[in-house]
Amino acid sequence: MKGMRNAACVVMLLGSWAASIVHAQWLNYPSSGVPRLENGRVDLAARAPRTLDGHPDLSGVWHVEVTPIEEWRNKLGEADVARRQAAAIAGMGIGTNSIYTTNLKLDLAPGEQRQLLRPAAIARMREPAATVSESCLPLGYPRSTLLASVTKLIQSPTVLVMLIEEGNWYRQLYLDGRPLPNDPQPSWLGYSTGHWEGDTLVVDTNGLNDRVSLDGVGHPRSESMRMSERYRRLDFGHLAVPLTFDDPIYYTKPWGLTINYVLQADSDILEYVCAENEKDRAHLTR
Amino acid sequence: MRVCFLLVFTLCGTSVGAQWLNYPAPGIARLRDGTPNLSAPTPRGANGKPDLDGIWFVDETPLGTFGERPAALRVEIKPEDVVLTPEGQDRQRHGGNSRVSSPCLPLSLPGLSTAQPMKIVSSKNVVVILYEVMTLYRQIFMDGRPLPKEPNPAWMGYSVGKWDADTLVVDTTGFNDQDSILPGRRPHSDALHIIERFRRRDFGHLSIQFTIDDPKIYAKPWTVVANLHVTPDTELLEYICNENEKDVSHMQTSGR
Repeated sequence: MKGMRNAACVVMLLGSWAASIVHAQWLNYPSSGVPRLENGRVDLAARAPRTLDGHPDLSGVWHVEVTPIEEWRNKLGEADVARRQAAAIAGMGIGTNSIYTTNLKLDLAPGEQRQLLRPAAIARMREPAATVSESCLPLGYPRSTLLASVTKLIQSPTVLVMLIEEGNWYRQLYLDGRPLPNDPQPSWLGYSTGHWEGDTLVVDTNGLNDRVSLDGVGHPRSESMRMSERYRRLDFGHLAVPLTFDDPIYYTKPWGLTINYVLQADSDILEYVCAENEKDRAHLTR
Repeated sequence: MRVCFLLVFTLCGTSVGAQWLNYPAPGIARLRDGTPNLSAPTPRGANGKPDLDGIWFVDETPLGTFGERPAALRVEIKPEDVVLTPEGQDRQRHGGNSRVSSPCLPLSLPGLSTAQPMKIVSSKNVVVILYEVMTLYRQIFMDGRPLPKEPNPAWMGYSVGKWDADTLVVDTTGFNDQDSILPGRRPHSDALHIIERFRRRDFGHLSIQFTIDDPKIYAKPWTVVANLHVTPDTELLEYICNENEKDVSHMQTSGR
């Protein structure tokens, strides 16, 4: 039943998402002030823009680098890919998102992946997965940015705002020099501060809750987790973000990966109201 | 009603251990005793226009009294200004637009801007408003783009802004007709056009005049003004409406 409900929920979400795409606006609006090739397309290899204060400007609409189907086959095997394709919903499955949504440790050897896990993590991963997105709760960062949806960065001198299309959430990454809070109230999106090291924005996050896992295989996060993000805009169209997760409750040592994003020029984020077209309430009992 | 209580509890629960609620932010005009100087001159951005950035909260609604004043969306609506068309009367008779915040759907303007604090962040091409209410946000495009024609109806609509001297004028269209104008659960249609005029008269004070223009529902446009003050040295709280949700355990399988 649970599987059915989850599937129904995904269909519902997909339905509203697909409906939005058709008539949505500003998805093809040519932005002003961006470098273009002779054919009018945005020059993704042009130099990264800078703000008035001289730092790289990370602003833009970003989509995670999509993993080609060949790479899924190479890394997960033909049978696994076939199973995922059969279960996938058109427009949201393999070929539209990042393979890391399944497992953030995918690039590590299986033995190395296991060595990182403390017994508490193994126990947690054996529990049934929490129904997070089915309940319209945040998938968290980076997971919600690894799907077939975009993330918009808006940079001001004192804060980098991250608008997350999946679930319609925002994160604030404070650039005003404040320290991370001590013993903060655990939250879904955490507390984040950033500082520049040359052209790299280094962001530290704490105060995350433990109610959502980091990826599809269920790597957990605890309230003690610290996450480090290093944002580097390589050129106009490419953003690389090496991530490190430091969580001594669940992992034997810090680990991480690099997530690459590609600029979605002349486009924008869509409104995504998870509770819209909600069909569960009619089935509530007293 | 039940969900209203839930929201109040969530708000109180979040406040207890939350952080950065008392962090003295840099770049704030202050008096000698360290308190923010709310009557200091209006700050200006690199373009010479008023800098609207800051955390704003509506006047005369002290934080912490939310539970006692759930309807305190502190804008005054003059009843004589609000004249319904026949279609508007019909919709009002049928309970307005029913799908308001109870199932964690977005709140609408102008109540959205006055229910809880909001934060304005300006960048080159866009002004973003972060609302504490349900962690909602709006983008106001400042790059000269026109409003979309026949947009997909949206809860937040589509917004473009331009400066009229020292006033930021924001036009928003493309709303869906699922929610109501707050306060008062007044109906609106998908023809709703809201014009907001943001004016920061000094460091500490911002007024927003809302003009509600919906020819299907109202015989003439009507306006309300919200007066807000800056609340420095604090921050928005995370507000996830579906957190602590208690309904799912009561769901039936309905034979599937």
